Amino acid sequence: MKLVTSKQALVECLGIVNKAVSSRSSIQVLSGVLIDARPDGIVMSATDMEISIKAPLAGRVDQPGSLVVPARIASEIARSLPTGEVTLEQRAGETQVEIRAGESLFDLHSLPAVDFPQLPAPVGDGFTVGKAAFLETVDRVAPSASRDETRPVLTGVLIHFNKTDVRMVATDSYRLSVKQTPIESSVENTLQAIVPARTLLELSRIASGVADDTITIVPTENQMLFQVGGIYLISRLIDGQFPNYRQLIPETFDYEVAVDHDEVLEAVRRVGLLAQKNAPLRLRFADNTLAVSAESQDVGKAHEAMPIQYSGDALEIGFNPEFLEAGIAAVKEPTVYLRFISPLRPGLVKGASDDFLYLVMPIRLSD
Amino acid sequence: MRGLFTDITGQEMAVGLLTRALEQGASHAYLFSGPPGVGKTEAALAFAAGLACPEGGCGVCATCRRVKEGLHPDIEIVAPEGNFIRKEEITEINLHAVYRPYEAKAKVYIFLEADSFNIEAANAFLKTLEEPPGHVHFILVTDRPERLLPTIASRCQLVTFSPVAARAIAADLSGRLGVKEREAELIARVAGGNLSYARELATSDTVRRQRDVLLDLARDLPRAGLLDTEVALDDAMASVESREAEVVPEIKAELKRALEWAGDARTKKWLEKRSEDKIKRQQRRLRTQGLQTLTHVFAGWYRDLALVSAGAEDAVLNRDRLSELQTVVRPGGLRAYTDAVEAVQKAEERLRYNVDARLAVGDMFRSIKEALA
Ligand SMILES: [Zn+2]
Repeated sequence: MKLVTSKQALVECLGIVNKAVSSRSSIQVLSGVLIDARPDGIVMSATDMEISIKAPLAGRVDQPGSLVVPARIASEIARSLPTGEVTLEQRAGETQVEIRAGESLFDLHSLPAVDFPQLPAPVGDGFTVGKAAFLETVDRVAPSASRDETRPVLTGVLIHFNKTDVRMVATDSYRLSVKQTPIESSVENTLQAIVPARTLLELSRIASGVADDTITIVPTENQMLFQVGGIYLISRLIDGQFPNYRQLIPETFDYEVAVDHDEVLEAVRRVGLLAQKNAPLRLRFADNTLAVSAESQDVGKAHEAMPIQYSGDALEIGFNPEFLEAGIAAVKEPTVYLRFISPLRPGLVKGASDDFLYLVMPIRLSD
Repeated sequence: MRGLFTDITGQEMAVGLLTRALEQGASHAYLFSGPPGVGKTEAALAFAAGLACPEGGCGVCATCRRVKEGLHPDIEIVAPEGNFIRKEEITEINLHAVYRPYEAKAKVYIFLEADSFNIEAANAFLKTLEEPPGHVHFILVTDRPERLLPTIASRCQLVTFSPVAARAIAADLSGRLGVKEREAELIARVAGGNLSYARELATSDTVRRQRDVLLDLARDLPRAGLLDTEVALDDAMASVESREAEVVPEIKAELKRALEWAGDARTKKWLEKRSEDKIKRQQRRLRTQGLQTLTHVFAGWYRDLALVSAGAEDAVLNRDRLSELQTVVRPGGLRAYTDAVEAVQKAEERLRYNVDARLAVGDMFRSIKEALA
């Protein structure tokens, strides 16, 4: 195999596929990147069995061939190379691959491409969605998914596509995000799947660096393929029953308060610094004032007040500061609406319309 | 399915059963049981290849090849960490088993030394075994099936592997390793049904030397004084342990390659831990094998003496030592030699239950000396 590319292309391509490299596998080849140089182009692939990524590498193929290189070292080498042309060459019968750029020469151990897993190749009808709207929805919803692997369903995002919009739902059982986004989509009828949040965040990372305006999606029974700008991301889907989120959202709330988005976000951020070691962030609504406060033993306390329109009974409710902050940050509007029932019932964070809802469980306050 | 089980010698029953299972639909759980060294693990990998292969077990495609080499992501090989297969391992498996296979037709978990589940692990595993996901198969491999929880064993289809017939071993040695016919026959007799021991005898000087040392010890033991017996015990135990160092360089080299490919420090630590476990496991295996060889060689020697004393020279195992046997044999010693063989068998039994090895072998030496006094 012999191919000629550039340092920049190599670094970028490895940067894309690296996120799918398996960090912990008893199978050595999975910690590598497959380089497949064919007369019609070069493709790099990696997989950790949950996500597989295939990305084109710009360059010239002098001699077709394929091999697997260790992902970590290859990336380190690529970054260290001088700017300009890079040659990758494996001579017939050798296991070493030579990386040359300017005066630099590296000899890297490689594994045969035949040892690399066959990447899933979902077939069937795909559809396209507008990239910007899709990614925006991902970025606002996916962070609410759980990282706890013992409940696989909660590590995923429930996605519901239809012709005119897409709805995403994620919850880690402490908070819940729902976003409904009008989207140009070529999907026939409707489609629903639980996609690992990690996949969507990876997709968002990859797609934001690509010029294309659309993402092509090919769903199959247990995989989903996303294609954007020549890059393929194939993800396992999560089997199982997603919690019935509609049941979790109270139909009515007793209190609604409108707050300036930036003002409340900054206050929550600042005061939240003093809510450490699981200490709650307190919100107190009374006499047209919202007071945000926190106190951690051995650290100190903070208090901040802002004017609001509120004349009901005094209400004090506690939240995990990070969760509340994430919810407010996900509302991209000048005014945030906070809705409550009581200090022990979940609170709702939303914008002016109902297309984004963020439900968050309160923390019981001890006094 | 041609080609899938060609490396498995002399296990027609087991291979027949597995071949039919691949043709007619496999169960979710199998228990591969039989003495050490007869090809259970190889058969488990071949069977897993058959389950994973898109052609139903062609034996030659990329899937089959990678499964047999332990390189396939859908085929997981599970071995004890330290002394046990632990609950954390099973929890992880239970969690991942529900996902469909990545590329193969099925997902297969092969448990080596499946008798080493600790009780928490066994209970956690039982849950999955009761309702295995449709695409999952479990293969439990053991040479000590009596140690499995009955509730686990009863949920597995039993596949019994037997000691390999001497004829089949001899054919294997000459066919595969090019050993001359007479030599192959001798080794086949000496190996007593243990194919991998036979292959080692044919290829490794260390293993042949080990046998010679043990035969000399068996020969000289009846005449040894008290002090000599202690020395003999030291020598015997040294021979048991002599091969433990063998595995280290290869596993260390494997670790070195893996570390070069590893991502972060945590992964490296994990790989190092795995590698240490592997060394310990292989050493434990070699030690068990060494003890088995010891009792096997001793029993063989005294059985041969019994045969010679009864005038049945044709039937001796250690044919290369026939003249020696004839020199040291005591006329009319049949009863005494049979007692000596029994003493060895008793030690063999005790060693299966992990009693202190040196103690068991020491007792065996004393009983042999008493029998042959
Ligand atoms: Zn095959």
